[in-house]
Amino acid sequence: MNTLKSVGQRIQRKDARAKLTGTALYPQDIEMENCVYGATVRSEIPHGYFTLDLTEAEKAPGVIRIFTAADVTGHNVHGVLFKDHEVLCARKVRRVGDPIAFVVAETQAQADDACALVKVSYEPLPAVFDPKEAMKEGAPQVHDGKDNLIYHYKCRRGDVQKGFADSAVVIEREYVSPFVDHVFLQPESGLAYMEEDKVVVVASTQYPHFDQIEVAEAIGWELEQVVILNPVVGGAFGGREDISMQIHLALATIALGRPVKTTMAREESFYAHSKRHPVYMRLKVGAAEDGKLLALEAELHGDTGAYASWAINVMRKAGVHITGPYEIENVYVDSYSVYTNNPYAGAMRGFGATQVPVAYEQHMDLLAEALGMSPYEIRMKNLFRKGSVTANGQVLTDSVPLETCLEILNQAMNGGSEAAGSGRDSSGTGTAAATGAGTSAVPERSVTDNA
Amino acid sequence: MITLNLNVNGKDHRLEIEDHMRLLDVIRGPLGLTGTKEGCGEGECGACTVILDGNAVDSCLVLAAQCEGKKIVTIEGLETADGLDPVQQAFLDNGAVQCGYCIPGMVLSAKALLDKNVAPNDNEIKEAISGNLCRCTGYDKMVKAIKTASEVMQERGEQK
Amino acid sequence: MKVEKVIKAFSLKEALEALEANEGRAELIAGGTDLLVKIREKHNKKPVIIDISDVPECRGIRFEADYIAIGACAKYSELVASERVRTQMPGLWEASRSVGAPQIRNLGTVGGNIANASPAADAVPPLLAMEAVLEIVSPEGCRTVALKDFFKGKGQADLNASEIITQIVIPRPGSTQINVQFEKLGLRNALAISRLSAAAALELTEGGIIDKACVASGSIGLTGMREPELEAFLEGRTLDEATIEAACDLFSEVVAKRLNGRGTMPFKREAVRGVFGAALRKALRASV
Repeated sequence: MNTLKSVGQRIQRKDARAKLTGTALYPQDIEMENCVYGATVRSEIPHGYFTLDLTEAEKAPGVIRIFTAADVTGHNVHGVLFKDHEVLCARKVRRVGDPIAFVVAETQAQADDACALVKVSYEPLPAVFDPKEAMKEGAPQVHDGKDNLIYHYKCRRGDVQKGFADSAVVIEREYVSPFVDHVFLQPESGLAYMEEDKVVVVASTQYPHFDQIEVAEAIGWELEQVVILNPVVGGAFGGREDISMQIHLALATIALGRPVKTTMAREESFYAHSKRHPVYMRLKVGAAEDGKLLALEAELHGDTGAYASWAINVMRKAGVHITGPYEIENVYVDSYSVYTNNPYAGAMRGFGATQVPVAYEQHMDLLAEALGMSPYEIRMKNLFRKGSVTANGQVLTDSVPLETCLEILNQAMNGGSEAAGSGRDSSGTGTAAATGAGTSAVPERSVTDNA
Repeated sequence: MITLNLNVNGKDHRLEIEDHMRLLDVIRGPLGLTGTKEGCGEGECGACTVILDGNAVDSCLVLAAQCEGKKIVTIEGLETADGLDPVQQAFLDNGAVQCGYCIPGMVLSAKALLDKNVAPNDNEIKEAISGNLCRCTGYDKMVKAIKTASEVMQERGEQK
Repeated sequence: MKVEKVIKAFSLKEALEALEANEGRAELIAGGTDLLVKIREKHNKKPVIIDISDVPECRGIRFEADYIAIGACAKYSELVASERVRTQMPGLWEASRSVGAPQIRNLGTVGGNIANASPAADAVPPLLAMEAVLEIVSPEGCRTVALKDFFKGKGQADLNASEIITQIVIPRPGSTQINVQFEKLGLRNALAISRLSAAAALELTEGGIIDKACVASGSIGLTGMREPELEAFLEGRTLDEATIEAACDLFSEVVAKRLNGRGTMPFKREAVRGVFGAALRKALRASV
């Protein structure tokens, strides 16, 4: 008999012991000899031009050098899809928290103090904070020369007008899901140092290979001269997919010839990294008398804030998942990613599939109520099974266990009653369903309790 | 500057420190014990939890100078020559560790509880760790691990 | 402001001397759960900090014939661990238990909460309802002030720079059990600042009629405060569901008037019904 070593076995996570004994090293735990420390000056306004006066800060105790956009030796850009971030803003800030200068001093405290002495003079520009407003003619342009609308996903299938016309009930609502922060417990921290002719950057990241490319391009070095070391990562959930301090550190260590370290306090962490895209959803769904969904029309606006990050993929995913795990013949979806002067949005677990269940699951319950059906019934009537074809044409050939899951849940929660929660039966607890990296409503009891 | 006398993980220390240093700064800096983490600096997350004279406290909220003559236990003080502390072992065996950043604080809160109450019920366990935020695990396996540790400790106590 | 010097006092005398020697430049620390946050935000005002957390004259909980004395530096965890606090002052026990989280309760002190005059300080409503009196010591001697007269405004207390609160004294003639009850509404179950809280201490006749009522609120004003309108309403009435409902209605009106114009008013005028009702129902159950 072939016994698998790991699959199907209970194994201990291999780095757990180090984490449990306090020996696992996150970047903030690493100290190097002859190290200097950096602190980042960040924008306090959401949109505007600025100039810097470094005279007082440069004279502050322990200050070695203050880096600005002019000190970027390669391309002053980075970004996972669009290179729309500046390593250090040159003349314009597009969000509160945009990095403007990197102050390096002998101690962290001195760097932090000197940061406060950097004088930033702003010339505020009109700003926009709503994606629909940002799409209008004459809206403030977040990136000079670029439309605020950066992506439009379309799904067209069948004839929604006919579908609505044939429907017994049609419900249209608007939903909003807000900005969310990852709040990974380990605030960002990193070090960089020279190792012979290579620059080594140590920072907790989700993308060591991307980081290598981005650092190399920003400093103007060959890829082989950049080494990225990923120490222990204290949570990420998508929030460490964008460059944080890696390029600042690389520039500084190359210029100064000494190791450079920087650690963010929690507040700065909130300003610095991405957020989950807020999505404004208009959803219109029509269903037949028996609960079969006949048409779905949706308009989704994703607010990607000042920088694109993963805006395209997120709103594409939202556009694909807005139908929920349900078969619908007639679908008309427009999903937009839009720049605003809000904090920038990027990857966060779920990545577009997490926001839309707020809309489609509410809608299923509303439709059920209107039709006098239970939430369970209407879902069983429409959900994906093997062989189902999604709105954007994917044929589901494997692993579509949703029906089984709902049946088991319904058995455990409502004793198998199909009517539970409908107008005809006032008992029963709610259910919800989702696809992708989504979640389902948490029932009072777990099915596995009895297993 | 202050001369501070502290007992940390069973060892006496005499340190020259700056007045403004928090207990967290002294632990991570002059004492070089980086197992204790800073997550928020405001006593909201518990990542900096240490055991001070038998009680779990947020070391980011304590000035080092306040600890003159006191006993401190950090995560590094748990493992002995005989092996891991029951709480550490239970976390390991129950898959309760993911990114690990909350772990030192979480383990010490659990240890502080079990040292005072070796047979806590579910609510007592949850209350004991209510000051330790975890963004990864959902806490379930941690509660299970603490129950496991409790059983092990009770067994050992009976064997004595 | 950068902290330049920390002095750890091991006696009240040492603490008072340190305050005098650093006149105008020093403030006190006990648990530090508020002050360390202020320091981090650079909002602390004095360069010298005097630690009184281990001053014996400020510690301990004493149950005497006609009063209970809580040391100003008694930690919240000590109140929670005290069986006598739990049975004899249930509302104060519950309030103590609701503070922050275990790590906060293991540091934070009742006296510190009071001295900061935070409108949300959890122990204040039950202490007000029990008509607590503060003992305050300075080089000039000792003075007492009723807790209800101690708060001058949000964050402002009747405490000058040379003074130290040493004890919080709760009068209870004849060692009677105090039917003091408390309820708090926070945004979550732990690590939550109180959004609204209420405490009631009731003395009932044999027939269940409210002989004396002391009612206090937290987070419904610039400071924790007594609620004389509710007290006047309750006194003389039978403590039953009808009275409780009517009292909640009254409290809702009081809150609506007091917070008129503030964004939190619509929420708090509703929330106070639930919170105050819960506190009164606990009092009813305890009286049976």
